Formats: sequence, C-alpha cells, structure tokens
Amino acid sequence: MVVRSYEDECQFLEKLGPHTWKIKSGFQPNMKVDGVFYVNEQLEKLMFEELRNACRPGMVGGFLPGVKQIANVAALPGIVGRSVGLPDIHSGYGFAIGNMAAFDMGNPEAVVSPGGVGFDINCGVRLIRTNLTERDVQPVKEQLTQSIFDHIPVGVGSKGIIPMNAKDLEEALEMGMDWSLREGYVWPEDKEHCEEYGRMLNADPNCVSTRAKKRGLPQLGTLGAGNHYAEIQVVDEIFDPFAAGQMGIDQKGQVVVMIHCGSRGFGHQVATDALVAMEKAMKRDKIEVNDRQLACARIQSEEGQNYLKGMACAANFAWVNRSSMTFLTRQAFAKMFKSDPDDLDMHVIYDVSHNIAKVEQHLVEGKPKTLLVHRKGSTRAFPPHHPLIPVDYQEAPESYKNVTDVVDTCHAVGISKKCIKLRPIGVIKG
Amino acid sequence: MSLTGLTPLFRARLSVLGHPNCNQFNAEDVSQYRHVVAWLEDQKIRFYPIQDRDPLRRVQAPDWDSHCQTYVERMQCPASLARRNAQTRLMWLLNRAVQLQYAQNNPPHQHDKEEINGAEAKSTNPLSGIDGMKITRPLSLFNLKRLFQIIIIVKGDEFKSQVAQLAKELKVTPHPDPVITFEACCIVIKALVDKRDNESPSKSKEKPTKPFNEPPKKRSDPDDIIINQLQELQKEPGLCRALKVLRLLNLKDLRGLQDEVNNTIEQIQALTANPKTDTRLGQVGR
Repeated sequence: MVVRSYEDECQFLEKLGPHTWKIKSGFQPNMKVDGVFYVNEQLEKLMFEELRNACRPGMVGGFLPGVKQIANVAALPGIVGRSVGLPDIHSGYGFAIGNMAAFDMGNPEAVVSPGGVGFDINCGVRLIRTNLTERDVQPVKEQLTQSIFDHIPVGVGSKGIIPMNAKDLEEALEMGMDWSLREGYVWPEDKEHCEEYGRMLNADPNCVSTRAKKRGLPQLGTLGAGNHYAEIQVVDEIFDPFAAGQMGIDQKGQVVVMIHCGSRGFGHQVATDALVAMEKAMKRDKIEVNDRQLACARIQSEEGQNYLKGMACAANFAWVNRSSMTFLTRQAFAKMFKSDPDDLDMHVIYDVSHNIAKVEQHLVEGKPKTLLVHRKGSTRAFPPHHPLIPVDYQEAPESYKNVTDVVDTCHAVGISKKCIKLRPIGVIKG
Repeated sequence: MSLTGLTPLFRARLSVLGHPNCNQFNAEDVSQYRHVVAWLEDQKIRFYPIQDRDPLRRVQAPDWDSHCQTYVERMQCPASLARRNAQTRLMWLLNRAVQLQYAQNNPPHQHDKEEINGAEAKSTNPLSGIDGMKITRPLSLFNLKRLFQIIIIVKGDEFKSQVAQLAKELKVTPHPDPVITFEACCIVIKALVDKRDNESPSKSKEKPTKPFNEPPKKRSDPDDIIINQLQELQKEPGLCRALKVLRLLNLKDLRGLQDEVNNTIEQIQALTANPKTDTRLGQVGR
C-alpha cells in the first residue's frame, strides 16, 4: 500500500464538473481504468474528510475510505469503462456501497467478486400503491402498523408465517417469483415491475450449501434487521406528474407501502461460502488485488460460476421474500379495510435491486460487449420502472447521509429524475 | 421460389396497385402476364412516351419477350435480373410500380401531415402488403431485416444508391435486394474492423502480461453493427418518426400480449395456487 499525505492524494482527484470527480489512474496501484464519483458540496466534504482522516498517521483498521475503495475496484482484472461511485457512496466490505463496476465477459481474466454484490444479495426496495389516502389511514394508523407487524416478523433470527419445507425452498430458489406466482402469493402483473421479471434463470440450488438453505428456510417472509423496513408512506409531493401517473400515483396524500429487504441469512451464507472458496481460487490463479476484502475469482472459473449460480438463487430468494411480504401486506390491508387487495388497487409499482451482479449488453467505446455488471447499493435506472432513491443501507457508522443531498445530486448529474416524494407515517423495523 | 410461391406476392402487389383482376392473376398464363406488363407501363410506370408503347401492347407478337427485356433493361433493372426469367422481370416491374405509386401518393411535403396522423398514417401505408404478408402485427425493433425493408420504403432510392455506393467501395457484389447487400457490407466491415484490431499492437501495460490462451474471439453478431448503423440513421428526422411509430406499435402489441399472458396465468393460478399462512410459525427476533 502506498503511503502518501492527504495533499499528495488529492493530486489524483480532478473535478470534471460541478458534481463530478475523476480518480486518476495511479491513485492506487494497478488501476486499469479511472474512477469517477458524483457528489454535491455537502457530500463532497464528507468524502474528502473521510480521505483526510484515513491519511492521518496511525490510522489502521476499519474500512478504507470510499475513494480508495473505488480506486481498488478499478484495479481488478477485466474491468471496463470506469469504476463509478454514486452520490450516497460510503465504505463497505471490499467494494464501497454505491459502487458500480462492469467486467468484460469476453476477457478470460475478468473476475466476479462477492464484495461487489454485498452480503445481502439482491437486497432491494419494493413499492406497493393503494387507492387509499392519508385521511383513510390516519385514524387506523396504529392498528394497521400493528397488523403488518403481526404478519411480517422482524428482527435478527425472526421466523416467517409462511409454511415451507425443504422441497418448497429448492423450488423457490430455482423459480424465483414464478414460484410465488404458482403458489398464489403474487399477481401476474407484479412480475413485470421487477428486474429480470423476478427470476434469475441461471439459478442452481445445487451450488448452494446446506447451511445456507437451513438458514434461509424459516426466514421466508421476514424483514430481518439492520436498515430493513416496511413503511406505510404518503405521497408528499409530485415532481413529475406524467411519470407519477404512469406509476398509478395521481394525488398528494395517496398511501403507498415500501418494503426494503433482501435475502436474509440465505444470501449472507452464500456470500460467505463464496469468499472462502475464492480465496483459494485467487492463490491458484495468481490473482492479485489491492485489498483482501476484494476476494474474487475469474468469471469462467468453477468458483466464479458457482458463485453466480448461488447468487442467482439468493436473488430469487430475495424476490420470493419480498413477494411473500407483498402478500402479507395485502392481507393486512384487506383485513383492516374489510376489502379485497384488488379493490384497494394494491399493485406493485416497482421492485428494484441494489445488491446484484447481472450479465448485460452495453456499448463500450462504440462496441457492443457482454458485461458482468456489479451493483452494490446502486440500482439500474430503466425507463418503465422508475426507481426512487430510498434512504439506503447502513454498514458503517455515519453512513446515513442526508437523502435530499443524494437525490438532488442524482438529479443534477442526470443519472435519475425526481418523480415523487414520500413521507412515512408508520414503520416496522427490526 | 417456385412460381406458386410467387403468385400471392404478385397478387398482393397488383392489389396495392389497384389492378382490376388482381385476385385471378396467374403468372403462368402468358397472355395474362403480358397484359399485366402492358397495363403497368400504361397506367403506372409510364416510362416510354405513349407512341413507343405499342410493342408492349401487342401481346400476341412473337418478339414480345425481347421487347419486354429491352424495356426493363432501359429502366436500369440489373442485368442479372432482367435476363433471368419472366417472373423476375415481372416482380421487378411490380416493385418499381409500387415505388412510383408510393412516391406519387406521398410527396415529401406531406410528411408533416403524416406526423399528425402518426400511427394511422403508417398502418394505411399502401406498401404494407409489399411482401404479400400484410403488416398486421407491428414489427419487433430487432426484426432488422423487416426494418430495413421499411427503411427502403421511407428512404427509397436514396438508401439504395447509398448501399450501392457502399458495396462498390467495399468491393461487395451487389444483390438485387439492397437489404442483403447491406447485410453483406456489414459483415465485410466487421471483418475489416476485427482484422485491424488484431493487427494493432495491444496497448503496452505496466506489467508484461504472460501470454494467455485467449479463446477465439467470439464474433459479435452483425446485428450489433446494424444497430450501430441504425443509431446513425436515426438522426434522419423522417426515419426517426418511422422508428418511433414502430416502437409504439410494438409496445402496444406487447402490452396486449402480456395482458393475454397474465389472464392465462390467472386462470392457471386458480388450479395451482394455495397460499398458506400459519401464524404459529411466526417468531419475532430471537
């Protein structure tokens, strides 16, 4: 590791635009491409303060500063384009959270890294609309929140109320939301609003350890702990009436439900297992990385493929989990308002994943390429399913940043558009 | 393609052109065939001045065939086609007539009106039956071959001449169908680009990399190149409109299909679904 003063470090950072910074090659050893990150003034201060603190003599341990992590990712074999840091970036395991990096599938040396996906594989946010307004919900707010709490167990080690056996789990891992659909937990339209239609096709339950399955089995339909939540929210402001209309949100005061959760202990175990296997693969294939947390394996190697298949299972688990919670939420609302979820218009508006690696086609320097895109704490922006940016993820202390800053920066650099603003009125959390 | 295969294509074109007996047309009948050629020249193509059309109108004359051949050749029909057989000549003539009719019905200044009519204008396009199959279903954007046929309709001779020029530059033998010529050009361009990439020395790296056994480079689909070219073409305002309309039609069609699928799934769900909950299993925290 190079030891430099804070001033020397800053030589490698160049401001490209009002919200855009470039990390030049050489900031960390072996950088294959440049890094880039998007921040506004407040977020910029935080980023640099973090770097300055890390440069003080005697600073060891803990996560590396976000800028360093972006640069270390830029040094991984097979990376293309740039290593991108999004506005709410903060340090995480190996990859910073809010880091996006793509690897060329055509390059035999290109790698896949579990750190680039995170431990909570396919953690994501789902938004369900209703045709209720704040006036309908406000008087029964507490009963409703209690009802959701009764349906969706929360906290570390919580167990769900959907009966599952080992065979059900195997099927769910392979089929993702198609399983939920077959069993009647979701509506056919729900799938359309999920990435990959709620199912990763390369999932292979045989690539998942028994331990992971054991951990996952009782947890389906539970929220978990940490920053995961189910929230009853009210539309506070509509910035883009057209886009909001497309999502079925037509008035201020409309009530929606947001669910943020992931693959629970299952995904965690899949990631842990993969990290162990990959450390060996790295020695065998002589892959060198700047940070031990960036354990990785060649995409085409056995370990790489096993991880991708296992990760797909975990992704499916997360979708089934969110789908089960959608079902339970619909039940809770239906009971409370003595109505049908259909009549309450409880459609899924979107389901976006922010911890996942996916194979995608992109143009790189004008040429079409097949890439493995790692997204950690970052989502894909795609036109019909418009992602909002929720308060996101807590891995390291002081990682919560002011959401308004984050959203405004995204809007300013054109990587997303503000559409609606939501305000929570009832929350369940672990 | 056999003659029986071609007959519907002939008939579709004749119907587009408003031929009175289009549904009875049989290309094997020499007299009918000659009458149609004469009718095309008289009513649609009008290439010769009126006084020179007599040799074509004398359908019983023994030297009619040679007159016909000269006629198409003088209209700059590629020689390979003009000499092949009567059916090819007829097909070429029909396509030419359709093109002329389209140009006549859609002079360039009408485009603004078309934009207002949007999708409607497209679906009533007289060329929608050009291949004998009516465009009842909107095209997938990635059905590139069809898309290029549309481009030809929109851009007409300009596109053809550009493709011809491109083919000449690349020394590609032109095919009568400009789409095929264009595809061939794409393949040649791809091959050239690949060759250049392989020849250019790889960028020097900080560390000398060990020689790795790279598997043979996967050739990317020529479609990718076509998509690139499409992005260039999209800068043309007329084309851009056409593409947008096609995209919207495609989306509408997909929506309909998806709704049908969803309905089917719902019916199946009635058989398979059995969502259960058991509150006794629930456990909050440890």
